[in-house]
Amino acid sequence: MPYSENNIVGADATEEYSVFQTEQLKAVVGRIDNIPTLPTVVAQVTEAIRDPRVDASHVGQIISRDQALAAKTLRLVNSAFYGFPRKINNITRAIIVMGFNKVRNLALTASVLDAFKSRDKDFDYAGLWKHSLGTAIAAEVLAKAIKSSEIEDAFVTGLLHDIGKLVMALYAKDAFARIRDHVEKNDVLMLNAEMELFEIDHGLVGAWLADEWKFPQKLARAIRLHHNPEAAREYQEIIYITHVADILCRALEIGNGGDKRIPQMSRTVWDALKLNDTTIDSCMTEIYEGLDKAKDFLDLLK
Amino acid sequence: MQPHNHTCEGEPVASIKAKSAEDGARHAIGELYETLEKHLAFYKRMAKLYSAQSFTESCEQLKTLLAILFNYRLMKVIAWDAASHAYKTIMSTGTPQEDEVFRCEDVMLEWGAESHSASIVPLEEYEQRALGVCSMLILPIRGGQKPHGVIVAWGNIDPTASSRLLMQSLDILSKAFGGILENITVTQRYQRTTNIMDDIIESVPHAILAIGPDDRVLTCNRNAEFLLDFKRAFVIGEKLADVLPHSIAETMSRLALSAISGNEAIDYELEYELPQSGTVTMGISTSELHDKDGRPRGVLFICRDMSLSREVQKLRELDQMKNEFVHTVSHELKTPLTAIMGGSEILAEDKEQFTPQQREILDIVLQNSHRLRELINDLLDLSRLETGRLSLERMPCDLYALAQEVACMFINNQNHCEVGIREPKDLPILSGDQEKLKQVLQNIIGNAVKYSPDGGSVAVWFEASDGKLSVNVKDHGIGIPKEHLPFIWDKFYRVDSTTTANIDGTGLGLAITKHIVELHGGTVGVTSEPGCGSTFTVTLPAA
Amino acid sequence: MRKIQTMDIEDGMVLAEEVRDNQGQVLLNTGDKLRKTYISKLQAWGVKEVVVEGKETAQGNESPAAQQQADNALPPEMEERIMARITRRFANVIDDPLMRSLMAIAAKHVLARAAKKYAGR
Repeated sequence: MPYSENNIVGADATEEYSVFQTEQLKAVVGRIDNIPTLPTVVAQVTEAIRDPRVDASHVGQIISRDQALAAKTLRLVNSAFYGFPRKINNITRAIIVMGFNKVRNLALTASVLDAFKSRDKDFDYAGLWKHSLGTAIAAEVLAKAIKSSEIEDAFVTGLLHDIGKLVMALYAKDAFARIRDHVEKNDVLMLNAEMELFEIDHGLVGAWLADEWKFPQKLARAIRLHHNPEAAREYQEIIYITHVADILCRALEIGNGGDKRIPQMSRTVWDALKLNDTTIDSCMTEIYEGLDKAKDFLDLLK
Repeated sequence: MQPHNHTCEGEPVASIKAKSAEDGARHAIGELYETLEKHLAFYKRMAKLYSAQSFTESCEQLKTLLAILFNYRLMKVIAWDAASHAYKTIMSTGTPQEDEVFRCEDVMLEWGAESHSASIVPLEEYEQRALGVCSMLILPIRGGQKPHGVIVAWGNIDPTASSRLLMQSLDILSKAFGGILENITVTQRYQRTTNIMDDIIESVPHAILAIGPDDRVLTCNRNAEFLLDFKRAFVIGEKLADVLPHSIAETMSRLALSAISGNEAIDYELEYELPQSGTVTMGISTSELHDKDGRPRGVLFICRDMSLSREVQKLRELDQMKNEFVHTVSHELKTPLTAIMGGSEILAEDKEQFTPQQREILDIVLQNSHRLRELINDLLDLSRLETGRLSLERMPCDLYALAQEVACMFINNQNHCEVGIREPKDLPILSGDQEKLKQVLQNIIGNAVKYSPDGGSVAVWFEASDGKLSVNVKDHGIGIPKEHLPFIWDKFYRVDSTTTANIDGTGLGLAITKHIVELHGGTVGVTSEPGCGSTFTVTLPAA
Repeated sequence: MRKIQTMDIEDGMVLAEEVRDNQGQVLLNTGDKLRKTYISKLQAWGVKEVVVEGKETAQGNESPAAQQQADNALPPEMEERIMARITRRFANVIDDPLMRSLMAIAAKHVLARAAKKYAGR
């Protein structure tokens, strides 16, 4: 992988982590034994919906086993963000109204957000979540604009793409502090600082968490490769969308991704998604509109 | 004591487990096949949806397809009506009364239209009682970027039993229907616009004809059929030359060429004979045909029947006046001329009586009288040719025979020039005006003789190919400089030079020749080398 | 963009959605400028409402030109500050024409949003 001064790409995307990477990962996150486990429910749902014949009530039952999670999911489903004109009062109904993937994604979101509640003063969590939300909206808007088949999963992928940063911020405080200092001093992308100091990036960390928490493969890949989309061997569409969404969100100054720079948009991705200035322009308008609508979304989880 | 891996009856537990596992597997596979069959039927049927040409057709397919997936009691297609800014039911499988009962509120429709995937909405208690069904299916119809509307269906499907496969199939149906509808809308909108234009073109009281760059007819309107006496169905795709009388086709081709190079015609007059209705005067206007992007597509002709307009009346009057003038001239001028010539010829019979000086004067008088008569005749000829009043009396002509006749006229010529005609092999007979063609031959052979050096020879030969025949006349005279070549066919054009100054001629011969030849549908041509001689060629179409 | 009654059309309003008659035939296209003289014609065609550019205002029928003015009322120092921030953000990638045009488009949107916030405070 070519690394240039201004264009440092993240760690590559071979199936397994290299021995080196594992070592580095351990150095960064190895001390983490208090990362909460994600409710098994989510992993079970992912497994269940792999069979296309699975019915809504069966999946609904799985989620309902975790009452708190089910309740949170339902709150999200009923939020103004989705604008469904009637009240949905159980998970099974939510599934047939919203779709299997959407509900699974919402449950996933609810449980992840739960795991990352923190009031740490050192780091701008609100800013990061706003950036994540912005990327989520951007991803969905973009997916709809290019008539992608990934519309259903775009939102949750955008929302969780920077989960690695959160992991480091909460569970590898020292390492993260060093990274933040480096960013501050040299005014570079957080990605650059990570590679400089530790030779692994937040994509890799996030992907590790995704594996631990048994996220769907597609999601894990997108988390890992959103800064290095050209290394993607599969799930290119969603990975490309996330890559662009992240950049759009930063360009529009939505939230705070931890640094003050913009990553280089991959030309390959631009061409592959057949983007042009007009599409970007209208997407940006819609992103701001979506942001206004989504204000209540995260509030629900606080 | 039995070992614990045997049941009370003595059957090994393991084998019971195995048997029930086997049954289970068989059952599962059976279920799998069933599901597979159902969805295969669905996908086969989708092909029919994709080939739907109209909204009605696509709705028919939709009804069947949806029924495979979801046994509905009633289905509606609801679209956003831009004009009234409201949702309208544009198709329903129910009666109007049922339509009233089975309604979906606007907020739900709005939500459904914005959605990107299918949804099954469980109905409230009171709704279920009222409608007798327990759920409502909502499929967005999306085509292009804007949503078109929603498909709403009411049925008794147990929402909780819906599988992901079902939802995905519904999604596919929804997307396909949206796409088809988009296509049909676009096509129909285009057709509607085209239809109005069609009506306009048919109603215009002039003949409208469009040809492509290869001179083939693109289309025409009904009036063109009347005016030009052909049937649209038979001329589309054909070349102009194949569907119109020669003169018209030729004129139109010429006008088309001018149009493309920027000279568009306005009411170019062309007279022609219609078998049933006699002579028609057309005013042809041309313009270049462009497509939406400005690329040239061909030429557009708009032909007016001029005999109806006032300008034409005026023109006819003028024409009439001109004819009378010509007629008058021919008599008024010719009569005194005949007297002069008559008298002079009589005197010439007794030439010996006169003094040499007197003889000389008499010669001059006679020569000039002849010349004057030639000039008057030529002028009259030309004037008749130019106004198109000259009509050809066509009959089978043998050019060779005519040429021989003409050659005889020049046997005792001044230059002692010999006119040799090569006998042609298999010269086709052509249909033409014998007298006029003789005039043509007289003119070019006469010129050749006139401009030949003393004792020179003139060669005449014929060529035939491709439905055309040509007569070529070569002389070894002084030739014509290149810069003069294009103009020699103009009336009164003389190549100024001392050598030609004393050669007689009215200066009209070639102009007349060209007119006559072109009236026959032929062409004239000349090649020449100053000092060596010239070759004049007349090409005519065979019968 | 917003929906207004046909009778409320003012000169200079710009259509945000094409106007069709009840046969679906397009009468006016998106982007066409409206004039008061169209009102009777549109009504004759049965068009009761049109969708025009411009945001909701208190009265709901200000001409878009006036609104544009309001929207662009960002003090120059603020505008400069924002542009400087955006330019710095894109500093590393400014050589790429793709990123350059992205910056231009984004700047437009960021400034518009800032102006809206400023106007509404």
